[in-house]
Amino acid sequence: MAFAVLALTGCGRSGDRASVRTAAEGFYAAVGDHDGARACGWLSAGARQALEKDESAPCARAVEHLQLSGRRARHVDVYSTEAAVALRGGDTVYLESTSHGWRISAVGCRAPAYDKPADCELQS
Amino acid sequence: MRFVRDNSLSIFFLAIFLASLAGQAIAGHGAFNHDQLLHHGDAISLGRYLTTSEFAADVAENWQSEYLQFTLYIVGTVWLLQRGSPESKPLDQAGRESDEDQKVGAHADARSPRWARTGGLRTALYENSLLIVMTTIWLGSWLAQSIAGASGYNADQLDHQAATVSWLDYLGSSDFWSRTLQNWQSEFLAVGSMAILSVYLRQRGSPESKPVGAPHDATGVEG
Repeated sequence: MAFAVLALTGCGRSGDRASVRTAAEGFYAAVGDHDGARACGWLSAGARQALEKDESAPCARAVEHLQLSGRRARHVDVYSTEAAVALRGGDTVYLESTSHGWRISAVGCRAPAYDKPADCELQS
Repeated sequence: MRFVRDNSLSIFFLAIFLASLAGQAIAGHGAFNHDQLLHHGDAISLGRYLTTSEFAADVAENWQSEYLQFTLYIVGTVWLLQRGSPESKPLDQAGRESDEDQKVGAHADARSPRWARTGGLRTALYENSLLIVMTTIWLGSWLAQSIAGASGYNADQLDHQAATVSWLDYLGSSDFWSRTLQNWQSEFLAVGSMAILSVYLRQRGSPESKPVGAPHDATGVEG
């Protein structure tokens, strides 16, 4: 039974890991390219709403105001319907599995601790 | 029909096990999606839910405690006694008993299982086979609980933008031991209750009970 659990659930399937990495790197690349519309496509509905509310601007414009650091993934974690991507020399990005695929729920996060949530530029 | 009648106890429990496992999957799926929506997430399909660590941990933590219960019950009733309980051996028979009483080796008869007769390692394995299998299933499902539980715990950590933990760290966590011990306490209570209640209470027709008219201090007798 332990092996069945490992096979089905425990470690994050390789397809999910690749999708999560693509979403995180895709978002940071889009922001770096000043392509707000493409960047917003990677955000979850909750993250988009939170951003637009915080900045009082449409997502494509508001996303340009985020203070972000990093571009390429250093480490990927996937557990059930949640994921995190630590970027080289920069932020940690948190993602959730949605009906549209993996989408970013929190971005620009720094210093996550075991018993204290990270400080994030944006979270849903 | 004779097969069904002669195996009705295991067939019945297999059927209600499968039904309750299906019910757990459906109810757990509903509860999981409710939590998803509360956290601004999306609902997932039943098929997807069945592959989540949350479902696996919920199943495994119950299995491991059941098999631990039987493991301890099997080994405990070899040496421990309860005056008046049908769950206990007679008071003068504590321990592994003689080869003659257990029909082992030269004392086996024509209908004894072959490995009860052969002697050596095969007999040693066979005469402890029930404990070996129950213990193996217990440890395997406890390991499964720890793996799936760590994954579910880390999913919750990520949902709150907190750091994840290793499997080893999870083994020392309050989440793992809370899940483990909440199951253990109920199993031990159930077995202990059965051992003592069966001293004074009766169920006519059940081998789990003493005969209705048996005295309270009659030990190791079945109805």
